[in-house]
Amino acid sequence: MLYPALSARSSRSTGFLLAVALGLLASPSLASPTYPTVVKNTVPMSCTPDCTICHQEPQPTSGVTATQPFAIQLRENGLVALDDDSLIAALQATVLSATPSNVDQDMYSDAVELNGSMAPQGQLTTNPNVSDASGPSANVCPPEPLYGCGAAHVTPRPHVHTELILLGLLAFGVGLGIWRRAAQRRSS
Amino acid sequence: MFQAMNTNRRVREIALPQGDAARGEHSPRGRSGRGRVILSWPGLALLMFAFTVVSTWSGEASAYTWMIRHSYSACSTCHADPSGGELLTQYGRVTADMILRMQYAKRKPDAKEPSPGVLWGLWTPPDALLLGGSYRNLSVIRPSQAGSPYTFIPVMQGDLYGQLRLGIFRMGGSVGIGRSRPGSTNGRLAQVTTNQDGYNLVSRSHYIGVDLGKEKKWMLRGGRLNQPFGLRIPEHNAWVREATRTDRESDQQHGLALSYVSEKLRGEFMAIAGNYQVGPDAFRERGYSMFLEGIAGTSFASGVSSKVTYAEYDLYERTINESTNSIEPESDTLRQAHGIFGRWAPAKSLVMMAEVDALFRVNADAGYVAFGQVDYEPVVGLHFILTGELQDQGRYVTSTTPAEPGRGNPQFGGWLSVDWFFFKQMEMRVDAMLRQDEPFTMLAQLHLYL
Repeated sequence: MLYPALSARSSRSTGFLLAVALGLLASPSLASPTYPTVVKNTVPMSCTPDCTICHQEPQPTSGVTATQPFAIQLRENGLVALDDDSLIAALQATVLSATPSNVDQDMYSDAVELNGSMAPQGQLTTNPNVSDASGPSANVCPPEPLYGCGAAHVTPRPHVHTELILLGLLAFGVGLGIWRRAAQRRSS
Repeated sequence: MFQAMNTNRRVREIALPQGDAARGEHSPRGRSGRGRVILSWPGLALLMFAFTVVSTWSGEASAYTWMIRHSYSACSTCHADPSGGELLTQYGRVTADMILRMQYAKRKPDAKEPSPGVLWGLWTPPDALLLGGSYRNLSVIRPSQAGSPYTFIPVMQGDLYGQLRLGIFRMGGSVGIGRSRPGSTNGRLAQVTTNQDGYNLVSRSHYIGVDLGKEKKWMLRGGRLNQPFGLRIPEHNAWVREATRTDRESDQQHGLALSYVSEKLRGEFMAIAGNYQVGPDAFRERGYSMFLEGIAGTSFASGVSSKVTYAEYDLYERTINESTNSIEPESDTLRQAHGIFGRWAPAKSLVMMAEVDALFRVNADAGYVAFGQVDYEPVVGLHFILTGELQDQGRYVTSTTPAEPGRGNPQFGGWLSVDWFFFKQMEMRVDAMLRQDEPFTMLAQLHLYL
């Protein structure tokens, strides 16, 4: 089910990441709005994770405690709300330690699940809170657009190449132009 | 009052070209036109102030996109793009020098014609080759912004343009640099390189094309192109351009476009294949965009626009998926925009433009966006522009939150701008923007075009 729009083109300058973090649905302030980006940069990850890696709610508001197993582990290692340094330190003590954490006790460490190095094709991450023992868990990153020509085929799944149809039409138009030009020359 | 002031400032008259693409008068040679006022340096500051309270208008002036005041109702006379914008033709360069910028001295009847060359006339490329470029910086002042209210962007735009024409065939495009920042989408849609935070190579357009028909009124192009829709205005952040996703900043799309330009009618239809500088494929919008404009006389034109696109994932709209309890892009987004627009020059110093579009999006109420602008050019090269905006993009049909301006309720906006073409291929512009539910913002930019 779809809920209200969360950002608008008219506020493009704020960007969707900021919008997601700071004011979607005109909701109260989020728990720790910078934390998804801190996790992304510290692990590092190829995408910005959803709030649900730590919270039960997709949009946890200020004062809501993170109760997912991954967050409990970080809290045990010094994580407090609204303190980026405490999150970085907690990640280094757990996910990035010499003996990396594995809260769901499957065959993949939390670092591997978050950086996606063992994620199945077409998926950037797996969920560190859900065991992959019986199959890969869900991606914790919502789909995000990537910019630049190198981002053209980051999703390998099949899709319709309408550009080839249009290129064909363009080639037809160019060919028609050449043919008519040649015909005009012959007639003159 | 105005005329008297002009006399005191040694205002003189000058013969300037008049344009009408439909008549095929594309020679850079100047043609006789009605007289124009020019201004000497010493009177400029006083005159700029005085014009803000002057209620009459002069008989003569000139403009920019609003060149309809010179009977330039079509765009292909001065631009390589048949629907206008960016790369200038040689005729367009000469015209810009003679009637777009401020004139500081009387032009003698036997004066040498301005050079159509690039780099302020240093080099004139062969006729088959058009070259150009554009540099803009931007200062942003938001008094209510926490911390420093002032932001300076040294390179808002840094593009080079080119087009090579071989017989009926043409190929061209732009390449430049642009700064991408997380949290900002400006410029990102045109990225070539993939730096997500920093400077990137950008290409806003690139295409190949062919002229069709005996009189070359038709043109077929394929590549990344400006979307044909509504008024092709330079204010890329105007709501009519943002809500319809048709600005010239980076909203170009890859596709195939067929354009037509004649004396009384011009139009363009583009089949949109998607923006191939964005991925994954699910985020690409596909559909069509078009406009058709009729021209009445030499000073009035109006038209209709239509655009329909579909994307598996929307680039900007976000929703909560209850089944997975996660925030996701809005899926299966069908967007429609249909509207009318018009341009009217009741006097050479005055141009009025308006656009009204109806907006439709699946899962959202119908909305609208409107734009009105009055451009007053009391002396050549100096514009005072008043802009009004109105929008309601509609709110989600399942929304449980109260309606807000722009989403369920009308949102109003207004701009007051001064645009000064102070020298050959140089422009300074200041905009004061007041929009409902947005902080008061002042923009100042310097624009050099090669």
